[in-house]
Amino acid sequence: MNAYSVVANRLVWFLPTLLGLLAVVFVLARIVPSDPAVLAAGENASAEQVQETRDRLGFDRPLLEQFVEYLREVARGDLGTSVYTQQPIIRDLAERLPATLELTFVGVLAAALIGVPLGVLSALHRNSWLDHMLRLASVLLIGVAPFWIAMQLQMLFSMQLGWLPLSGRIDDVAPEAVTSLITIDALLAGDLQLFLSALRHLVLPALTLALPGGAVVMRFTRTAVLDAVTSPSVAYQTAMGLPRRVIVWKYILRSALTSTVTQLGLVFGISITGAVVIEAVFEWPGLGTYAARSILHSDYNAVMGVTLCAGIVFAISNLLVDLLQMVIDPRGVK
Amino acid sequence: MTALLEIRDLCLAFRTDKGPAQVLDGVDLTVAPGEIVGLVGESGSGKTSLARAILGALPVPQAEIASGRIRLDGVDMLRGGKAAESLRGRVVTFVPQDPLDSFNPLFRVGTQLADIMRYRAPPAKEGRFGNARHARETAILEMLDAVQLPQSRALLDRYPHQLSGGQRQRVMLAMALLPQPRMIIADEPTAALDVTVQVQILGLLRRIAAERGVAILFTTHDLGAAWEICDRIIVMYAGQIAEILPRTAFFAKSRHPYTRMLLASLPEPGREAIGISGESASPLSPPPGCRFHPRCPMASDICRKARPLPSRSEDGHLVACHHPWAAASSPAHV
Repeated sequence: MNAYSVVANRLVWFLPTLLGLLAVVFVLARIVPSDPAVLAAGENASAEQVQETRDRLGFDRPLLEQFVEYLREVARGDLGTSVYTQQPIIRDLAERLPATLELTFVGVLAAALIGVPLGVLSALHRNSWLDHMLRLASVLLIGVAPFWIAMQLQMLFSMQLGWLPLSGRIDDVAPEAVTSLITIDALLAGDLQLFLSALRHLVLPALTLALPGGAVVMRFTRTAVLDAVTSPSVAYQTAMGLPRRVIVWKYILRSALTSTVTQLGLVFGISITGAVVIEAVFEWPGLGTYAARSILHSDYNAVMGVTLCAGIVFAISNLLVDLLQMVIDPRGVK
Repeated sequence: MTALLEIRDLCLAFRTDKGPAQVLDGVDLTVAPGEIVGLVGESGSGKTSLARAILGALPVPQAEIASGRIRLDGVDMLRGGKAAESLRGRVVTFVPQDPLDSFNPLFRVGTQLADIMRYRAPPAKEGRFGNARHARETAILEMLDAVQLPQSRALLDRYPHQLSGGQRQRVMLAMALLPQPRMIIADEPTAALDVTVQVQILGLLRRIAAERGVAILFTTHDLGAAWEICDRIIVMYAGQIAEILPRTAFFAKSRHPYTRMLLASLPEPGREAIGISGESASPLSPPPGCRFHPRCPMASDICRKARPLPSRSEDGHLVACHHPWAAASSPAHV
């Protein structure tokens, strides 16, 4: 297998996966016992107006017909209009996805930077008090609800210590959108003040993602390192007297990273979907808050749009993980 | 002649769930500079553990060295700390049993050679305009040439799994030679190879030892292989030394019943191979007296009670047996 066939293989499965995902969400959204037409028509609408809205939006037609119609629109690049924002959904998504991506990228990066070294240390000092403490902490962080972590961080760092902003993405006006990732746009605009402000806003929500994510990464890294430590190649290198630091941080780490990278891909996917809760706590204007509001308003097309968007991001992150695996473990590569 | 390697009364046990397993019991041996010594015995005779003890590559938590000492080049290898550490991979190097497992599969062969060269070999001579890296690469290529690996430059870019078994073991040999050691410990270096390749590797080992004056301690269960290249053979049984034969005494003048039975078990044209009945002594509960007595046709009462003390003849031939064969008798019928 080379890189091209990996990409091709992923692409072949990409469309059927998305189709299946959309079908499930389409049906689920319509099982929910609420009438979108009533909500869409407005609070004071008469029965006739509601019926008229229902006709216009096609909610009384057969489910399959609605689904095929929806797919036809999507294929044309039209995700419909949000009943709530009255904007094309694709524009809503384009505004909000970068905020979520920025948060998730920083969160996953921090998870890796926290999880990998601690996992290695934990494995090397197996059954020491450090190992026990780290494992206990990881179980707690994985077990505790993310919104609770978020609120504890807010109370400590912004309300008590006042070091970091409580919520939001930026204090001032956002810089000119080039990448729509505010930190990078601020750097591109050469505005250091703005960059630091954006960074300070990122810290707490990213940490909320990174703590449980880092705990997962740490546990998998620990297991992988323990495997590698007892491998014959490490026994050989030890017998040959290679310095311990070279054996650990060059050879063992690389072996351990193959499983860590897979975990990072999963953490990324979970973070995108888990963003709903964290974005709500931090009033982060991303995909998560949009998804939550769309569901509450039975904004079907918006829910479908978010699903599609998350599915595509997930697929891309899986592809990147596959490619990264090939870089780390070149055995399968011709 | 001062010994390069001197082992005195070495006792080694592994902690197991069923109690301590006595792997080595009172082992005495010496290896002179430039000498090739074969350690022969069945699986479980302790030959690999002996080799690993010298290299400090025992499974640390389970292994317990009860008594004895290992001195290499005057340094205590068991309690020598940093001094012993610095000998490993410099004065004494290692050729492992399974070359494929002993490489890290994720790194190019060239990288692994370069790290041995960089951390264990004496600094390569620098040319007037050369840098250290370039000098190291030259030294590696010369060494690959010496172990008869043609097109060595292309080989450096390959991964271990892309090499043949013979190529891998030649690279291992090169890695063992790069530090310019005084002694190589080769643990069944041909066990994973085809018969034709075995002969080549053994020949190479013998020639290199002679050319460079390197001593070799070579474990094998293959008496034929030992006879091909060794100056002396040490026959081990159940963690004890049964017989030490100088080159002149190979085959014809062996005196220990176990050695004779081992020889008789070799297939040879015109003669039935005779197996040794019974099972190898369990290290968990070794038989009292001579450990071989349950399987020995010549066993008498004293064999069941007292451990035979080694007796040495003037040509260096040593045998630990209450009823050894007379030195001159023919080994044909046992």
